[in-house]
Amino acid sequence: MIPHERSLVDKWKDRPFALLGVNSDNTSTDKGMTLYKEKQKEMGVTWRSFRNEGSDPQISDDWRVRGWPTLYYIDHDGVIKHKNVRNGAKMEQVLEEMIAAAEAAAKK
Amino acid sequence: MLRHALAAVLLFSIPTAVIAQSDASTGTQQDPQAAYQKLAKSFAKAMSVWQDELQATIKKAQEAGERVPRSAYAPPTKEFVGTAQELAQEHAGKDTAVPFLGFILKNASRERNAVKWAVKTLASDHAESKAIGDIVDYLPKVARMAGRSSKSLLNDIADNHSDNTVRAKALLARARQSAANDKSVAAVADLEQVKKLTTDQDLLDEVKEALVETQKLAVGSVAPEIDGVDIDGVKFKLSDYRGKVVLLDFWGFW
Repeated sequence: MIPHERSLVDKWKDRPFALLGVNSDNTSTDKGMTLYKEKQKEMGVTWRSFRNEGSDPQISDDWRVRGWPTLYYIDHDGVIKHKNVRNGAKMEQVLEEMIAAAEAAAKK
Repeated sequence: MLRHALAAVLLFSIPTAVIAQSDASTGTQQDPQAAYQKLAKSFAKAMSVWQDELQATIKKAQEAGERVPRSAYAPPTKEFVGTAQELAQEHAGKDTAVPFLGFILKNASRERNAVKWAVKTLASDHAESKAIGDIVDYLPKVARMAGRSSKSLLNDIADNHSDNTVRAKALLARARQSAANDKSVAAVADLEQVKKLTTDQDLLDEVKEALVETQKLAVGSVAPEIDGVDIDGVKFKLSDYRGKVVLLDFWGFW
């Protein structure tokens, strides 16, 4: 999952695309945070994440997330276009279409 | 190791069994409620033992650089599902069997035959009972194992049951299933029906909650705002990214 996501971030770095995480790791303790930072470096996670527990109610509760990972595909107007497309090729296809639509909208 | 732990759990649960039996003043059958509680309790214990064991196994494997054996991930459901099946048979034909059938639907992990049998028994013996209202929630869960039979039983109850509360519960279960499959129009239609069928406040609260999911979080809706902080504590919002396509990923390293 993470290596594929990293490749998407690289691939579309000059286009209107952002990968945003909502991270549920325990980062409220120093130990948890150190562990997180180590893993972040090791796995090459460069994108930004909300801290799930940093909001009240937790973001995952607000979004009724029942399983991890859960994916939402949100277009340039903030509209939910797809949920939980997980297949790698399908994911790229769906996002490519959405990014093209965002670029078309920006030109208008 | 797991087997020993399970044996220990079962040994500990014997005193409860003795009490339950001496409490039941009539006949040889156990009081069904006490029997159910005993089953649920020993199952919960076995599950928690299994989870601890699994965590320990994963940790050990990680330290040794080895793979976790697949079998370690299998929850100890088989014997409890078996017990539930025996108890359901003991109460065959009576509504006291329904909770045990529900237990099978709720907890089975790979006991396909038991699930199929439970759905079939519910359909033939209990479809018109009021008791079935308490277990309709579990029917969508077993759709994969039971195939069409669980779906048609749920549809039958949702559309035809003579008791409005039971119908409302079935409609709610079906709506949640539709919502999970992104069929929000069908989900909303069922939820609106529930509102007409019941005045039960708990059920109406659940309808309200389910409507959030089908309307606020459905494909085609504007995503709810997230006003939060990043890992470093810096505040930001989801709407800061308008103009860009956002792939929002609920994730963790764990």
